[in-house]
Amino acid sequence: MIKKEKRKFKFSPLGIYAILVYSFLYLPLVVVIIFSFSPTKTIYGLSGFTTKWYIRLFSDEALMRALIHSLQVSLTAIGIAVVIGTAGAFFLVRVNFPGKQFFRSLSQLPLILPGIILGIALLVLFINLGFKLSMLTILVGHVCFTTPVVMFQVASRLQRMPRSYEYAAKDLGANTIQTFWYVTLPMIRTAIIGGALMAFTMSFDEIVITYFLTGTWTTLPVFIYGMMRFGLSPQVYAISTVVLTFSLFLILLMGKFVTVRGEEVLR
Amino acid sequence: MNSIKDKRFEWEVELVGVTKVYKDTIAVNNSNIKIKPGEFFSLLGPSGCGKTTTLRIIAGLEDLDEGKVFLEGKDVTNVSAHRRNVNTVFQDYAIFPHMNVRNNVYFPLKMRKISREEADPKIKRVLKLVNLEAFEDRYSSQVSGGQRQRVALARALVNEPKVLLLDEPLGALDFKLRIAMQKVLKDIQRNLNITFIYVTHDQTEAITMSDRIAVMCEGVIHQIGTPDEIYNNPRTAFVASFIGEMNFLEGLVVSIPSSDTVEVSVSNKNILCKNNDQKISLNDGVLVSIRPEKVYVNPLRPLKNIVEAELSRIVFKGNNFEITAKFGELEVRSLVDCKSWDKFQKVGDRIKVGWNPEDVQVFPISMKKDMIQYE
Amino acid sequence: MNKSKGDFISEIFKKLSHNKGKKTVFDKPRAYITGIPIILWLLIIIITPVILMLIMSFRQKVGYDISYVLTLSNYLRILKKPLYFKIFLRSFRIALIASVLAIFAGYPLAYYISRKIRKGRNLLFMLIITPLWISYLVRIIAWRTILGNRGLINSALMALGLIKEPLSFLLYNQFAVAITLTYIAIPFVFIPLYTTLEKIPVSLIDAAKDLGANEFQTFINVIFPLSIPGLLTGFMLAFIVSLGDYIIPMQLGGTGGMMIGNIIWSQFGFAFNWPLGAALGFILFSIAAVVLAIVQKLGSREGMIYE
Repeated sequence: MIKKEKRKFKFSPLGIYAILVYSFLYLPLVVVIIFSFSPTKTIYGLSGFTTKWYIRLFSDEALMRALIHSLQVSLTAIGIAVVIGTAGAFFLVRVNFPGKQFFRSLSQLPLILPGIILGIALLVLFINLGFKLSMLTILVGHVCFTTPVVMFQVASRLQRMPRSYEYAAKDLGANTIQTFWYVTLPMIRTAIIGGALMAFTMSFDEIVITYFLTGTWTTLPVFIYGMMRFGLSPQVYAISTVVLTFSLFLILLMGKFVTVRGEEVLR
Repeated sequence: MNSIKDKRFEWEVELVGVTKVYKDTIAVNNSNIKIKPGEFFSLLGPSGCGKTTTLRIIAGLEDLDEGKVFLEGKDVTNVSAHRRNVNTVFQDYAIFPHMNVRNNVYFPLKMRKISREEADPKIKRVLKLVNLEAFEDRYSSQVSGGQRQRVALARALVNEPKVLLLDEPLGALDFKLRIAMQKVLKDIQRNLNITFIYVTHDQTEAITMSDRIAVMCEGVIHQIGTPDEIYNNPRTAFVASFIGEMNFLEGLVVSIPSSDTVEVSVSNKNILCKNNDQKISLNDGVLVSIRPEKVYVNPLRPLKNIVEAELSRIVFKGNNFEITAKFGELEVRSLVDCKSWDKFQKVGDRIKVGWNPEDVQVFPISMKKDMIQYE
Repeated sequence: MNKSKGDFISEIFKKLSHNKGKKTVFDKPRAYITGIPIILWLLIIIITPVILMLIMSFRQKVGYDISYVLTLSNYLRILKKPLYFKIFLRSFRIALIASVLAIFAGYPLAYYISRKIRKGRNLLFMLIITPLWISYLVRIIAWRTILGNRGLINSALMALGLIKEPLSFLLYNQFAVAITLTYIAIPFVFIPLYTTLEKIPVSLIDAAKDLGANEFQTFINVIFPLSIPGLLTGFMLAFIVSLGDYIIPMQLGGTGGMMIGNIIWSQFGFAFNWPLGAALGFILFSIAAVVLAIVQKLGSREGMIYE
């Protein structure tokens, strides 16, 4: 029998540092969760345990409305993003056109630029067009950044997909639309879903651009931001925890669809 | 540190009972190898046989689970790679892409804190050895595959190691280049009198270049010997099947005339065979093996073993013909060089095939499962 | 041979391309259909707004209106009044500190996970990305909680009896802004760094070890130089994100921690000077574009080609 030496666990300083950084990243979130269960309005720490703040959330009409608004905007935005973005992905990967790098950089701009610049630019656009700030303006803002998210996710998958499948389909008698529908689309489907999920998560949480483009019609983050004006109360923590949990859920879903590669997360 | 006492070591590199396990496979199974100073020693075997793992264990890049490694008589089992006096030429060359050729070659000297002025002549000398003096300023993306391989070689040699480990260094090169590089490597090894430990799956390469070869399969060393021994006196059916071309016939032992011969019944013919220390008794099933070039078609001189057969196939192989002779249900291949082949022989003719008992080996039939077989 | 319209357009494209004589065949116009939505999107949502913003920056606030006369007055005002320069400088500094701190946090982590861990690597990677996807706002709330007068740190210290009054210097200043920005920036630094580090072939590390380099030497001579492209990308992302942030300075900066984002925001808020805001915004945009270009240039010069 072969005897394997037990590998000694090395307490490397790097490992300890890693644990510290992870703690730094997660402790603040844990704090929020804990404080959401505090019965007192002040945040002097945990003096009891209650879930009453969560219950109050449900009776807060304005909050519920903001929540629904968020869902409306985000779902619509990703719907549009999927269409434009998938088409764009095909354009980027399959079509041979001049200035591709420039096109690529331009498309990435909404993701890299600080949101404030996009906010200003879109605001100015709406003023010039005479639009009042409303759901439509927020929607446009969200389409602005959701589209590249989907596009680059799909483009990445498209690039890795061998074209031989499409050639085979064409060879066997399928026209362009049939090839796309029966062969290409099923293969990029998970990329589309993954991109849409990513975009949804970003859109649901978006405050920077939205705050610029919001009138009386608010989304959830804008509403929470408004709540913060009056100081931090357990109610804020409660809704924050709910948002946290929802985000986590979305991330888990994403994990199933998105192949996590550094480049894809950022672009 | 080096005292006169250390000089009196027998083996440059020695592995004693080395075993390494990966999950549930035994990558290296109780290997015992002794390599002489200045020897060109090859580890030969199919992919996955553990030859690269063995090499990495010698280099210190891989831990072992059991056993010991000795370099120049000193136990280096627990010495980490960067402190062992062996250098490796990696399969993918591993040239640092962010350094030019000169800095790549300088690297090992830099690690030993040798200044640039001192190092420069060494660098130039070793680059001259591999014929790359003009390439000092190039980066790896600016040189070809063959040149990169020579950079890797130069880099591994600049420290003047006693032992050089090479992991299939010529695998990526095309045929002609490979032949040329084989000669270069052999010359360098002989001129610098370095011990080379060379991993390859290409048996021709191993046979032409090595002083001794260890033939491995699934972690086990089947045989260590000179190319001649490996080729002409294989100790297991695996070695017989892996090296060169071989005919295998199954039969039963009918008599044991002497300590080193057996008589085997093959397709109703009794053949006299050589027995190289295989444990064989009466009525055992055995594999009879003969090299095709030792099978003679219509031999002019009388041979101890002659069989009547039918010519079933003729294949032109460039410098010779491969003739397949069928008798009973068995087939035997023979290599006949073009000059001696009678062009008027055709498929279906009756021919005689024969061989000498000294050219035949027998192996117990249990070894059949280890053989390299291609369906 | 009759030249079809398609050929003619293809020829124009050919001339437009700067391919230095290389023969390229651009696709027939029909293939560009898929590009229509995205090009429209680009035009309407990206290019036009930015141009309009630029134009806005040249207009002027007159009373409650914005005149249509184009002037440079906004830019001149920005250059002349020392306030703006000061705020820009401060913003740079804070963004720089946050990015550097994020690198200090993120690099060892990326190194550790990419080179030292085999099992569970993906999980650990996801754990770093997760904060990125969890609400930005919630993370800000968290830090206000920790640093506030009645927040975590103060409550803990007071409960332990170490201090009698809450430490007020924790919040509403540059320190708070910097630390929160660092917190946000860490994943941005980590991801490109991790990607780059992970791509370094193991054989290079083996070669370094084989040739006599210990762990530290291997890092300095091989790993670090090869990680520079990822490092630069991460830094750039962290820097740009930090520079343009306005919510964090507004929530945690007080007056001492004001950044350029605050100023810009107020132009669109109560100060109601949109042209000025647009001008400031355009300057910020230019800075971001320049940083981006620099990093791309640097990154490609280091361009490593792995076998």
